[in-house]
Amino acid sequence: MAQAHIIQSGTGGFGSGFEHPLTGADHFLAMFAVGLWGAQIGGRSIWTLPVAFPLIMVVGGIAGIAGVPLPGVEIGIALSIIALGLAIACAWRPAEWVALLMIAVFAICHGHAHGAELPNAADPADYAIGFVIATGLIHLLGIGFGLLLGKAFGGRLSQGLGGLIAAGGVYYLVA
Amino acid sequence: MIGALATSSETTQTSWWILNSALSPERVLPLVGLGLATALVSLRLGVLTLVALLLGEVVGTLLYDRFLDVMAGVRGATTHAFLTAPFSMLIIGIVLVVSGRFRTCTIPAAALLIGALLAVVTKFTDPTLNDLRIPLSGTIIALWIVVAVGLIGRIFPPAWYTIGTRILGSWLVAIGLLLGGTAIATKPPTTMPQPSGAAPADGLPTGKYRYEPPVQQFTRPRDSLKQGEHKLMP
Repeated sequence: MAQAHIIQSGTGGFGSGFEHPLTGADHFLAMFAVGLWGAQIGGRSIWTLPVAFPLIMVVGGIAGIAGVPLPGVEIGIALSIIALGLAIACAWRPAEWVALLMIAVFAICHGHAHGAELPNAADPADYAIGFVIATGLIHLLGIGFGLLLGKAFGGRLSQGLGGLIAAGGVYYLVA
Repeated sequence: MIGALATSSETTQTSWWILNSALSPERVLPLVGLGLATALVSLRLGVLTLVALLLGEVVGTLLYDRFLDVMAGVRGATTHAFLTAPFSMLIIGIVLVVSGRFRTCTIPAAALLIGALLAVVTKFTDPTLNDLRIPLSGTIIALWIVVAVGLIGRIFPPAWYTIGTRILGSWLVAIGLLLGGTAIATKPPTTMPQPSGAAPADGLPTGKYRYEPPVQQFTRPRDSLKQGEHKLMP
């Protein structure tokens, strides 16, 4: 079971929603990787990737809220971390639409996992606001890291981080 | 004395409303988004946006009943402030995400709609029903948020600020969709009455013992001794 996707019934306001992506390492790694990858690709991708992610994520989120089943969500989340980590590690710069398509598929998995547990929150509205803001801040952290330190050691620092992120994804796939 | 107490009570209600409604995230976030958007356009258009926001508040107050009638049929609307927060966030989120030319054209219209929705939720959550301080406080707070955020936003380099506001706009769209989705897609909890036996005609319990004691009687070995039944020693 992925770490960020366990919520006790009756808990969950703004604070709970805000800390949810920060305390669940699987979600954190994926969000950070999206920002880092966007900064690594450069150009418009700096903002199109982090903008696309939450917009597609809510599609999966609403499906989860509505109780639409999506088999293999947790595996999809683990695979998203591996794929994004490897893309960064290999400094892969695909066409923008390819990157957006990848992001969209992974965003649906992440959104569904969180949407399914949203109705259990004590205050779903505040929970959603806290959750999306924290997710966006992790994106910004990834972008900031990618832009400030991405060029260090000829980009090897970002690539090394990508490798670590991919390793984290493998851990979640196996665990 | 009564007048003083009444005034104190009204002040408390206004303070309560400001803390729990006027400054709630659902109301503040669209206004922050509108403030961010005003920093992306010229100062003249920014002022026009503020005027549109105020005009929207008037429109929202006038069309309050009509809006509630229309929205009453939407699932989950009545329990979620008639979905005013999701609509506001979607409107301003889209304005922030789209390109500059479209944004310039749509900001005043967005401000008008947000102002109208703000007036609706103000009237809807007003605990006093007729105290003018509530809508006045709501309007002043809304203007203050938009102006403060708009002025702060002008400090940042435009290129980076545009990237940041686009990302923030996508968050607002996401939050709006999630709030709306939570309201519409979530089934309301059903409360079933506790199963209970039918009451007897005379109102007294039924069964072998109509006046059955709550704790079952039992006799301990030493009780018989207390009652004078002495056992002979062997």
